[in-house]
Amino acid sequence: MTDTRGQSDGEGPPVYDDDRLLAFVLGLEDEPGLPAAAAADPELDARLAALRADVAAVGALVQSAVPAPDESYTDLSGGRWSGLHGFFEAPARTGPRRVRRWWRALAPVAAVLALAVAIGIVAVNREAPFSPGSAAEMAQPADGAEAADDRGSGAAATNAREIAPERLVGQLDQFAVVVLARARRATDASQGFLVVRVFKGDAPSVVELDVGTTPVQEGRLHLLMLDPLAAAEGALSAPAPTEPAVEDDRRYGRQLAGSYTYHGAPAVVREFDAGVDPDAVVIPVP
Amino acid sequence: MDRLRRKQPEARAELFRLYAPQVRRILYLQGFCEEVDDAVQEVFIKVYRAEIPHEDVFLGWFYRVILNTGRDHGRRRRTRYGLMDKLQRISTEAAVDGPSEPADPALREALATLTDELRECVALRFFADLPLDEIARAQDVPVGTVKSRLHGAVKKLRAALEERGYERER
Repeated sequence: MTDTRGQSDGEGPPVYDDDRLLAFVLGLEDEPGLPAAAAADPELDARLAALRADVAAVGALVQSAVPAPDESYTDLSGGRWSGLHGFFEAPARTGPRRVRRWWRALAPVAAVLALAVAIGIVAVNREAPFSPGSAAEMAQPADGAEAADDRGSGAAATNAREIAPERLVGQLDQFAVVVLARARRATDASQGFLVVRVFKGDAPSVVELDVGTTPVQEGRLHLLMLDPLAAAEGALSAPAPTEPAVEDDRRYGRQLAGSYTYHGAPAVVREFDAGVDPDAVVIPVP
Repeated sequence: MDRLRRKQPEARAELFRLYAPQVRRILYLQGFCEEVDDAVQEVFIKVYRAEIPHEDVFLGWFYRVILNTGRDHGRRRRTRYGLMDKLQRISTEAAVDGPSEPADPALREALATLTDELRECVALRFFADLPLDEIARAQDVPVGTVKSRLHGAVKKLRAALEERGYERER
């Protein structure tokens, strides 16, 4: 069998009626032999040209039936396309909306994270190792009553905030002697304190502390916690959790971070602001 | 196309500037003449809200949206206006819209005799210059049907013009 598709009936030249020519002119059908046939047949060529002209005329008139709008038609700034403005401005508006949506979703999470970070910082500070020989830090009770973390600076902590009296009581309970004393000039590694009030136990008129780091400020009033009790000795001799230096309270002075010992035992020193009246100091000694 | 798919506003505006005049003309020729800007707007709203198809089939899809929008509007209005009336309006508004000459009365009458499908086919061919396969996609018919429609439409228009003494340019 021979494939005769695309050929004429094979008996003679193909017949090109108007329909066939129109389909060719419109590009609807391929007619591989038509150009050659038209070139050889002037009448066919004229019919083909006339059809092309007709189709072109129809196209032109269709075009003219609905002329193209002028350039201002696609001006998006006018009110004509107000229904579309939202789509063109979408990013500018959805951006902030998206941010706000995300912010609404993330704000609680961010708050929780911030809280967690804050707790983590406190926890890290609590778990920080003691400086060797830091009597003040070692003097902290195991339940984490108070401590200072500005080790080595020898300066009083600057944050002032109230501490619960019971927390101070817990710390005071661990010492046999609690006195209010005014610091004298330091000599070498020791510093004398003139005792002005005794809150607990028996104390000499002058208490000599061994100062491991920086001496305290001369002339200032200090609350001294001396002679740790036997029950507390164990706790005091081993590293215990420390509290950050926020455990300062103007009523009870600021706990110093330096290393202080009294008769070889760690002592706690809390420094009052300048000008504090010794008689106005109230210490919650049980 | 990717930018359009990502719903970027500049891509949307670009699509609008490129196609809005053509969309308008197709809708006009479809027979929808009043409130054509609303229909044009509706077309683009549909496109912007839709999932943009792959580039290979975008044009067919896009013109199908146009035709369907025009058909919807046409159906709504058909009870109020006859086709001739609509085409008269086309001619009137066309004259206002641009520098082109008003439509030839003979052509208007000839257009009025075409069915909606034939007129759509003519619009896609002469305004959008779409190839046959794209017209077929837009009209959701086989290519053979498009050929038949286009052939029939041009034949009718040509005959109508000849009847009315249209003089062929030589």
